[in-house]
Amino acid sequence: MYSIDEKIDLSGVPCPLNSAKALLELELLEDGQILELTIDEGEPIMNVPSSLEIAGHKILDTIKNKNNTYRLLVRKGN
Amino acid sequence: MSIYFDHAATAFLQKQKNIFYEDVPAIQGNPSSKHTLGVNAAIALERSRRIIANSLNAKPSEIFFTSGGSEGNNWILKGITFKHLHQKKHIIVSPIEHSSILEPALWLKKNLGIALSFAPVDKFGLVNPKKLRRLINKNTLLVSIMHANNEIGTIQPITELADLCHEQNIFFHSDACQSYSKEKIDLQKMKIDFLTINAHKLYGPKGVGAVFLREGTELEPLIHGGGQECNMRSGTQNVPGIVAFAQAVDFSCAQNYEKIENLRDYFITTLLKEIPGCKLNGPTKKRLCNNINICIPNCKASSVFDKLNKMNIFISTGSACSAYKTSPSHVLRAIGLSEADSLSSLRITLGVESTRKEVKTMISALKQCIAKK
Repeated sequence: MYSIDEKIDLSGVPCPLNSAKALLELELLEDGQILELTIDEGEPIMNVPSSLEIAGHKILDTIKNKNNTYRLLVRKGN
Repeated sequence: MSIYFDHAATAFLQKQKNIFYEDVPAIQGNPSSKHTLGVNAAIALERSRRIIANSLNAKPSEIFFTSGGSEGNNWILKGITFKHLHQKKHIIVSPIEHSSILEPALWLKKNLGIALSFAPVDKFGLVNPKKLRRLINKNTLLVSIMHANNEIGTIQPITELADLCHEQNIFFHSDACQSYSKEKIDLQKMKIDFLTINAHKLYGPKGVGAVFLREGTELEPLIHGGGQECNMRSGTQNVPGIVAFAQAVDFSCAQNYEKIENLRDYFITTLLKEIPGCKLNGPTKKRLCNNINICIPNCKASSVFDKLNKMNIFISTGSACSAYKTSPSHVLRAIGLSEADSLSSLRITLGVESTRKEVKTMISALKQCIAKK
């Protein structure tokens, strides 16, 4: 179990705007803090995790929700 | 040496910030591309959107980028009409609006049968809310009144006008291209549904602007295509221009406009004192901090303009968009100036870099021009 510091719902937000919004949200966190993201299946789940990893963040967990969205837990920084 | 007193036409990019070029390498990607360069450009875009939204106390999702003020004004008038054409068909504007409001309004009247009314203005260019109320009927869809006039600087009672429209369940739009960053605009407090802004009046680049569309309002897009800006304004965004726009907003909002206002008042007082017959067009109060518009009776403004231009002193005889027209300004005519007085009027607009020394030089040059006639 992780302690979530911030949440953002990016379901319905297309690529790459979802990655941009997630990265801007991460800018507001301290290193080591955890952001919970909700994103759509399809392109978003393919693109967003890699964009966050390229930017130096760590994907801690990926959970598929019942409504075809995904819940991502991201730790700021590595 | 040159003196630039035409800031209402455009305000120059600030060299010390080098805003238009510095960040370009980092934001070369297309903000719709899904690779890292696209994400970087999208981040720059969203960061800029937040800066602009914050400056207006709006939500980032309520800001949509455009190519400038004229596009924004056209979009609002046409977009709202297209969306609600079968419910309401009456629009009210003031007669001193920018041509990018007046021309689309006339186009809608001619091509779609929209009823068009003009809210009367007084001798200072002010719209009276009571007189506006009398024009409203059950068919009224939209009222569009500019926040500050581009020629005579009149600042409208925009909060009161917006309140009135809100009470009557009518959309209210304001063209704030001249006032944005100079006058406080709080979109949480002001009941404005749509607002047009642009970059180059506040030391940003030309060809960039934005509109505020209040959450819950609906209008049709003008440009269809790639689905950018949440399907409301297709076309790849001008990312370097938008980044520069946001940086210019930060710059412009931080300026001391009281200093410019004091310089303006000094300028006006000296002109009225030293040039016989000189009259101020527009209000003394409720006026944009950088605007001066004077009439020198029996003096041909185009001739003075030309002489000053040769002396590297740059002013205007009307709005920048109507400067090439020989017809008298529709704004000056609307506030009651005769055709002759309209053609004897000059617009002088100050900027953050304007100095008292420049003002003195300009007044001395102006006296020479008048003496030479």
